[in-house]
Amino acid sequence: MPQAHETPDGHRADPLVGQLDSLARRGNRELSARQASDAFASAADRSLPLVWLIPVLGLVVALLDLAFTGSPRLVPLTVLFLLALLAPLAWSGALALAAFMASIERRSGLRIVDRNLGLKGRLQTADEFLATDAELSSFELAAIEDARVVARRAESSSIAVEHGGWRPNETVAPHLVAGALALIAYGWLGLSLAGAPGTDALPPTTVAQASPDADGDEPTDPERPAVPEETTADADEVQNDAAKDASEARRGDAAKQLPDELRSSEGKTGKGKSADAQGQSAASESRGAPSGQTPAPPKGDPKKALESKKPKKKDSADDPPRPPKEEGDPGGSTAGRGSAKGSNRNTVTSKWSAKDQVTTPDDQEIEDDEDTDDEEEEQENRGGMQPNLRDRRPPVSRDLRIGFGNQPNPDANGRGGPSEAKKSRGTASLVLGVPIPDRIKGQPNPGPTRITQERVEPSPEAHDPVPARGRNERSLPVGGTTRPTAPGPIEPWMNQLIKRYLDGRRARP
Amino acid sequence: MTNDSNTSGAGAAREAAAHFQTVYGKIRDEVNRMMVGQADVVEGVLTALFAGGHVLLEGVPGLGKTMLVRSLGESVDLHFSRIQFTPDMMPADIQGTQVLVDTEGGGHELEFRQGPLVANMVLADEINRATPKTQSALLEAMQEKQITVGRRTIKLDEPYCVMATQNPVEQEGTYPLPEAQLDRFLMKLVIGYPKEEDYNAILDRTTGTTEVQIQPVSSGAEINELRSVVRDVPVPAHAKQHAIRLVMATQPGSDYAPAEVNEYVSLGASPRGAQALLLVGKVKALLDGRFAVSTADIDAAAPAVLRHRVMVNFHALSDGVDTDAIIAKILAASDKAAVASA
Repeated sequence: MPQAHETPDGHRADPLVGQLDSLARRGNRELSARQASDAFASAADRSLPLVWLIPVLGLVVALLDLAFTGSPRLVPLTVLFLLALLAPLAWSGALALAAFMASIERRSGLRIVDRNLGLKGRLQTADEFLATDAELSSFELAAIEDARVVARRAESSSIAVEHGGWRPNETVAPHLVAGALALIAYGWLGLSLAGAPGTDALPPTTVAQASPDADGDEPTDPERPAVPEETTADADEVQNDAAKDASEARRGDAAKQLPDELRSSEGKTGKGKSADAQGQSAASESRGAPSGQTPAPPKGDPKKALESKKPKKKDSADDPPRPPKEEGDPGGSTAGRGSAKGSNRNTVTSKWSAKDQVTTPDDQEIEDDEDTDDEEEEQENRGGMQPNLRDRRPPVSRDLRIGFGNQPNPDANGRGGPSEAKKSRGTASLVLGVPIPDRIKGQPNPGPTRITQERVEPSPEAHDPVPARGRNERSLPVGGTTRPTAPGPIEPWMNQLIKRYLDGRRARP
Repeated sequence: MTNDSNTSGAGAAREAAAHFQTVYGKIRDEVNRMMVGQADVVEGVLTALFAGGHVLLEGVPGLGKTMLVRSLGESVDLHFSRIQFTPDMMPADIQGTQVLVDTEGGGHELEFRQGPLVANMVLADEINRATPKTQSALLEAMQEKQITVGRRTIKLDEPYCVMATQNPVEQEGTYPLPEAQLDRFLMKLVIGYPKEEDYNAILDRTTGTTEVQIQPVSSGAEINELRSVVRDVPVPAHAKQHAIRLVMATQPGSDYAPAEVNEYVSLGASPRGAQALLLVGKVKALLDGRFAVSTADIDAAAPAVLRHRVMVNFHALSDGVDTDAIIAKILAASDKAAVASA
């Protein structure tokens, strides 16, 4: 075998090496693309569930800002939306780019070509054999020749690498919904703040329209950042509702006309509210009207409260939703307390329930409205009023163990059934975690014999006496037995023979 | 290196590979005159014969295990012997023993009589019915290809191949083969029931008046020659690494073991398993018309080679996970890793 020349990368000088190089580069490109695709899909799957994070963060920051400063600075809704959506995608794209730029070994490229063209490692094997310094065997040369044929075919065929692609996971949907809800809440916060008189935290559109820069008359507030005019257009894109736009425009006009002193008030008086805002607040106040109009029953009269509440419950489907409770709202809270106290009195009262009833005023104040509502709802769900189970008595003891004498069983717990000690020694303690079939060695014996002795007293039994009677006469002759008669005369030698036989029998021990 | 030199050097390998395929095909066709169906099992037995290993055949009675081995012995024209293992069989019954014989002068002398283990192809029927003492008598014959009785050591002629059968159902009164014994089998082949279309041919061949006569189409010398051809097949580094990682993946706690192995396997394959993977892979590469082992050959050999080398634990038995399922998981994990690293 002639000594092979080597290429700079250690391979033998062979035309096949160039073909393998070309195929390896193609394979590496395909592999890079697949790695990038996989990296993007993996990163997107991990980062998209965090799509709600930025809107929620924005909302929390705005709320905190509102709570502490009273004038939150709101990021435009469009910017927030784009940030929420683009941040995960940008992160995924960065990772995909990094994966695409990662270096890939030559043999990996050949492996992917081998794999996708079904060459069963021929190219990779030939590349390996061409790189060896030792003398090649006939089989190795044959393998190289074999690869030469398939390499030509591989150059003309496409390396189809299956890209898994990326599809949003089903689990992403709740996160997207959460993000949308957070965005909506953020927008609602902006709208509500825009309606508040004298607040600096106006929604992006309103801020843009009501900003002093737009008028050019008022000086710029150094604490308030300048909102670009683009925010108005962005907000309009997101909020497609024409009515909202119109109301916002009116609000903006009204805000322009408001004097500064009213703007600076915190809206407690309602003076600074614009027309729409006042309408809104009026509506919200009117929601609380029924609770305020309905006189609260006195604390000591729960029956009235119960009567007044029962029809409410039945017609609850028709009634408007109850306004949220607010601290300092005397009307609504009083009504709620009245009904709660009334529900403490059970209509089906018994002695036990009467004893358990809380009657002290202190305890009544501890009672919570929500607990009472929950109990009533639970009872309705169960099909009406449930019997009071507080007067149940403990079950009769069914302990069958026999105590000693009149002493009770010390292990009995009064609950019936075997005691704790019995349970710990019972069949349950013998059950193994591993099912093992029963095995019986040999024949089982019949078991211990039980002997039962019964003491029976003697008792007289009646019997009939046999009467005596006389014997009859003998019917057969008595004495003298018949002897067999010899058929012929007995010879002397016969007598001698018999005598010798009998003598021999006697002489034998 | 020029193409001409490559072509001339590769010619010998091509001829050897073609000869291998021809002889292999002839023996397979001759065996298939007797055996109906079970193509995978026939191929596995022939692969073990050419790779120089022993085979453990497992299947319920009546599937033709004994007939397969007998047909193979007849088609290759090898010295064939059969041992029906029973619990009262002793090592001397299979290895051979000294017997007292009469001499010409009227005297007596001890003479060694060889047992049935001294042959080219040994059918160890129902091997799990023998006691461990008798089973262990096979160890030396299978690994070192020799038998030691007393102070006498008998070299066994090549090709030497032990084909053992065992019935997986009747386990009462059997002695399961120990791990050391199992490890010496190159492959474990599981024989299943024939297909519906095979039943017709089976009934026609076995219930009529015509008898199929197996003709020898090869010889022991030719088998030995082809065994050396198999050994000449090179194994690239990536295929060798794949075999090593597959074997390591069967060992609980190793870096390549999937979660199923760590949970269900109590004993993994030994380095002898990696040897077997490469040997079987070489035969499969030759049969596929290639001149080097590929990872596909290793994967194809893995179930039969690793099946009896992987011991599952109690958790696997209770969960109904068998060794084949574990090996399938290992192969899937290996393929996934290969795709990821490619």
